[in-house]
Amino acid sequence: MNKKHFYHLVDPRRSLYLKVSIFFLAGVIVPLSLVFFIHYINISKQTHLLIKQDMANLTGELGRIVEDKILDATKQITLLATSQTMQSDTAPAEEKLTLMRKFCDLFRVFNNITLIDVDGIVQTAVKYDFVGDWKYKKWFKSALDGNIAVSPVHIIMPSEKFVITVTSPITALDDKAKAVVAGQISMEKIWEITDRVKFGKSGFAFITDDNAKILCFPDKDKILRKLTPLKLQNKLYSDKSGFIEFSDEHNISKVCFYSTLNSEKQPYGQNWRIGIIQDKHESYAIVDKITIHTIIMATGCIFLMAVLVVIFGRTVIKPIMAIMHTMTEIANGNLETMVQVDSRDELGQLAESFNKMVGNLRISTTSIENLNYEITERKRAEENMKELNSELEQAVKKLEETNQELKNFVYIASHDLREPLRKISAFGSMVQKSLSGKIDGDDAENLNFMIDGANRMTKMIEGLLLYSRVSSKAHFAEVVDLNDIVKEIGQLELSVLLEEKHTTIDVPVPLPEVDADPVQIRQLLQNLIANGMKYQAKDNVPHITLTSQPAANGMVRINITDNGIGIKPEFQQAIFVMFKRLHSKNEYEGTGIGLAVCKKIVEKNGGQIGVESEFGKGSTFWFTVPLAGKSAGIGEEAAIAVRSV
Amino acid sequence: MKKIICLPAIVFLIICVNYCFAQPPATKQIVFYTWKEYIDKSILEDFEKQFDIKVILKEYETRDMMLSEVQSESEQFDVILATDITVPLLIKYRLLAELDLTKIPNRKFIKKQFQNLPLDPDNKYSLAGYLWAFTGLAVNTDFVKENIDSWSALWDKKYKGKIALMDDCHEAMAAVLKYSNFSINTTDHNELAIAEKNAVSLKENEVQFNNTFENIEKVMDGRLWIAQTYNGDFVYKAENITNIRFILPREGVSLTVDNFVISVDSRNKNEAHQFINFLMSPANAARSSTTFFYPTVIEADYLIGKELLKNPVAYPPVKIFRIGNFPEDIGSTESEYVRIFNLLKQKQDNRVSNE
Repeated sequence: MNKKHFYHLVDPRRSLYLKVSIFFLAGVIVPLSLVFFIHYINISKQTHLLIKQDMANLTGELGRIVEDKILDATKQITLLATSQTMQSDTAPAEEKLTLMRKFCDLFRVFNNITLIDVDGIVQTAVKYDFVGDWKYKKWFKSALDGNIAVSPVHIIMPSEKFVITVTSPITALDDKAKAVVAGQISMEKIWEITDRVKFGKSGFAFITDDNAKILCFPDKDKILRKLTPLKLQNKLYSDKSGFIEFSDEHNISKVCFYSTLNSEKQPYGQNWRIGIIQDKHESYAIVDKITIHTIIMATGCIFLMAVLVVIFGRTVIKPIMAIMHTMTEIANGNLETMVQVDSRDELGQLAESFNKMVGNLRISTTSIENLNYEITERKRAEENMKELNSELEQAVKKLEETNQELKNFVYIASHDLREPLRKISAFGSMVQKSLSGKIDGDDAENLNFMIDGANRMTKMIEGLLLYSRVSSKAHFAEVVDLNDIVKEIGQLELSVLLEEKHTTIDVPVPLPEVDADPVQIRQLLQNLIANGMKYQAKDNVPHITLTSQPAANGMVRINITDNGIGIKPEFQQAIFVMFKRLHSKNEYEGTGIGLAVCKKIVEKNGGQIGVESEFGKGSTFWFTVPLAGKSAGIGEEAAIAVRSV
Repeated sequence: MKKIICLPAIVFLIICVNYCFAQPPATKQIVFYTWKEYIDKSILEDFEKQFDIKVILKEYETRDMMLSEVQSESEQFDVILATDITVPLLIKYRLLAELDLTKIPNRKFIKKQFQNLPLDPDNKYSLAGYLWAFTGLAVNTDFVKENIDSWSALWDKKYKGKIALMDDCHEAMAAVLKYSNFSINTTDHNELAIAEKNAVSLKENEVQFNNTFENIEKVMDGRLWIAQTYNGDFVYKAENITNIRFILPREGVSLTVDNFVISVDSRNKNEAHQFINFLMSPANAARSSTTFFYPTVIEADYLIGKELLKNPVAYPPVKIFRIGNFPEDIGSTESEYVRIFNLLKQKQDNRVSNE
């Protein structure tokens, strides 16, 4: 039972804690997280916008600077082309070269200035770079047509420098070009600007031309190579400006913002892209910071919620759990349990009511319990008694069995012993007769002893046989007239003895009829009368009186009173025990069986035997026996009485 | 009934429309940029047929033109036939893609002396796989009676104004340097100073500058008497003309090998490799050589007619490798070469403008 209840308590499906937690989660934490999430997205969006704006401003600014640099260079080269010295046909080449050198020194943006005639032959140059044949160069041809031209970025040999060539025509009076001045803008001068741009720690600026070839990049090895990766390149040349995230060749996430140089302002019409590339993690560092803050705040809130859940559990769930535990205890029968709730709210009231209920339950349960206890005790006693009874029955049964065996033994033994003894006695007497006179005094006496012993033994055995017969034989009760039996005894069994001792048997009032075994009752009376005659003082004439008096339970008491020696009170009980003799055989002969047989007979017939005696004045042996016609019920009762004792 | 007739009609119509508007499968194409009249068009046709790749042919006349074009529009070209001296320039200009030599198995047919040439010894960007050439002098025997066997003829006052060099810094400087008995790749400033002096004297002899074909044509019609030309072009233009001869100057010559390179911005690099490999097969090499009378770098002599092989202008004697030099990278000395070459041309211009 306990286990099962415990199981219920921890079963997650039934846990109140869990339900409350889920309720809180669903009701509070989820919306809260959502709010945080939306807030976070908004802020990160705003931050992204700000970063993009920053980058856009920077690229715009950078574009203007680079543009101005190139435009300034074109203005300067035009200034040179329109100078008097350069215009002059007569001025010597050396003079022109000197001017060109001065220009190079003055405007450091120029790496070299070359004067080329209309056929593309270099007339003079500050440096003789290998640029190939001028007449194939577009910027040269454009200048011949009267334009100020700007070349793409290219490499000049042998210095392997990256340059932009700006060309300006030297026009004759008829507005036709008669020569071209070409100035090489060293890209290093532009890199000085772009390389100085730092956007955070990892941010750098780059410029690509309209063929996605890199013009400015911190890594100079990439100059004039295509911008990589292809994803970035494609994006750069699909929109005029934009923002893109990509991974570089080292698989580092980067972000790039780019814009296109305002090509309308450019005399050379190139769609240069100016961009800024930054490590994504740095670019998003602020966003990351916001993310971390949001996470911390959200975690804090969730923790707070958890604390609230715990407090809620303490204030609400705990009393409920306490009541539940108590209920479980009560269900298990422990009525001593009480709910301990200190709060005064509805739960407190509930607990109080519950306690009251438990109290009432306890009172009603106690009386029932007491009753139950008594019943249980009684049942237990009965059980014990039953057990004892059965034990007793078994003991009695055993005893009876043993008794029966003993009786059988005694009967068999006495019956079988009698025969040889009789032979000893009979042949002894014959020997005595035949030897009478032939043997002298001692031998005759010895023979006498022997015959006498055999006779005595025969008597003892006969007594034993009698006793055993009484106890073993079935009880056949019938109406017996005691007067007749006494008369017959006097005439038959005791006639010799009566005569010998001159005894009188007196029956002053006729004895009643009784219900008993006639044979046994005859033996009983014979024994008692003979007993009265036997224990007499010497020369005293025995006198036996038989009287009767009613006894309880439909019994009658027969008293056999003698005028013998009497029995001391301390021996009055012992005389009924087998072989118990108060006197030596020389004083009074006897086997010590007679009274035992009497007791047995009386008991067998449902009565009691006893003696009342005063030492020296005679004894009265008495016994009770059922009156005729009342034996049935009485016999039973007597039997019960015997058992219960 | 009408519906039943309509249905096939509609289906037919749809098929027709589909057929008309369906774009033909985009056939791949490559752009091959080479010297003017320097490729047998039937070879290109064979390639187109065999690989289903269209070849667009673009031609240049001078190295400078090629360099300028490739420099300004590199994505327009796939395969470029670059004369050896331009290869390091193209590399430095960052215009070349690295070659995948595994895709050019025919490189095993390249003759030993043309393997791993000094300008790109590892064949990282370029592969000498077509023809090779050298410059000599075309002479009109109607006007030049003596037996010429040296560059010094250009300095001979007798021929003043009737001489021409190629309008090519490298070849013109090679003539000047060979005349001065220096290597065509010298970086010695003293030697270059002597060469500059010789250049000045050559300019005084009123040397002209034309491309190789113009030079041959002008020699043929007598406007020029002695002019610098490529050997193959001479055979191609003037083989059967008796009054002009091709001279291999005894001082030595500049050797030139054509290299296949692929533009860094080529969008069809695979096809470009296929094309290069195709042209390098002995059969095609023999065809090119036979068509243009230039010796091929491919081991294909067994496929070339004996007549051509015996022609000393087209297939010069082996001694040419002793007296001739392949160009080497001369580094910053290049600017000196340019300056001297400009000097040569300036004088000429001044003369013309004075007229």
